[in-house]
Amino acid sequence: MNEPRNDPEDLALRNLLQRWQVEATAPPRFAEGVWRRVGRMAEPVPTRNGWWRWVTAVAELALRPRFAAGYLAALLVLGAGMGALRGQAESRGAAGDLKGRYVQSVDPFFDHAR
Amino acid sequence: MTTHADRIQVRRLWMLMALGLAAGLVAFSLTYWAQTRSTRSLLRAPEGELAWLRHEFGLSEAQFARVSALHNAYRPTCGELCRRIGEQNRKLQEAVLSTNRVTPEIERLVAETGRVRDECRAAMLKHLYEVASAMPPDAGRRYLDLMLQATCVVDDPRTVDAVHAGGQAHVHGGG
Repeated sequence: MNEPRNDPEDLALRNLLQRWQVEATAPPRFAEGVWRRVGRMAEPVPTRNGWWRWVTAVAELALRPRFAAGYLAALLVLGAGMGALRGQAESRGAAGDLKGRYVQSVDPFFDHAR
Repeated sequence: MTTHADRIQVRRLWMLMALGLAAGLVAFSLTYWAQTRSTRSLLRAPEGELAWLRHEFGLSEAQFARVSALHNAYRPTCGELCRRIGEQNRKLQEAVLSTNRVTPEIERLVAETGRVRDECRAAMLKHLYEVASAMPPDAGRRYLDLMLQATCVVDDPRTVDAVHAGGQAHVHGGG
């Protein structure tokens, strides 16, 4: 902690602060209210329907390390599989377009017979 | 009844689900990009149809150079043939629409149209055979199968090999 300075300006400030009196008072039973709110946070809150019980049960199961890892792995595999299938389909479609372009480039009847 | 701890747990559950979905989305994007990379480069290539030909039939550098040369040499011919077909069709159409009976002029134009089409078809076939001969034998047969059907020169779904297997005679359809 710093040593109090004997600076005249510092002394004047200190005197002024000591003269400042806070006149406001805490509401009645303020401390009691604070402790009541703290207690409420720890208390169970009544729920309106039973779905919350189901959600918490699922959460308890799903947050187990093995289950969470399995869930993430399953979505990774599913995403990769769907991406591969979709990519293959797109590639086949594009290959068809390119084939059509090649046929059009060598077939003089292309624009006239179709 | 629920507690503050329950709410935290459920919040973590939503985060886990969101993380899983994000991971799946990233995996989807990466594999899709990898699968379509070669196709996208073909589509971007200046002569993508030739790049497709090389990729589809597995042509070597020398084979692709030969096929490209044949293709580029044929293109002006194809353009000219296309122009002549279009011109002949236009003339015939004008003649047909200007009368309500078959005139000698119409007969002449019909014959001329047929001749131009025969000439065009022969030139195209010549090009197809030349390109097929510049490829490896298996690739050349596959190329001919594909192109003869795509250009409607043949209706028969049988392949070139199947028609000639064991001296099998051609079958002319209709009846």
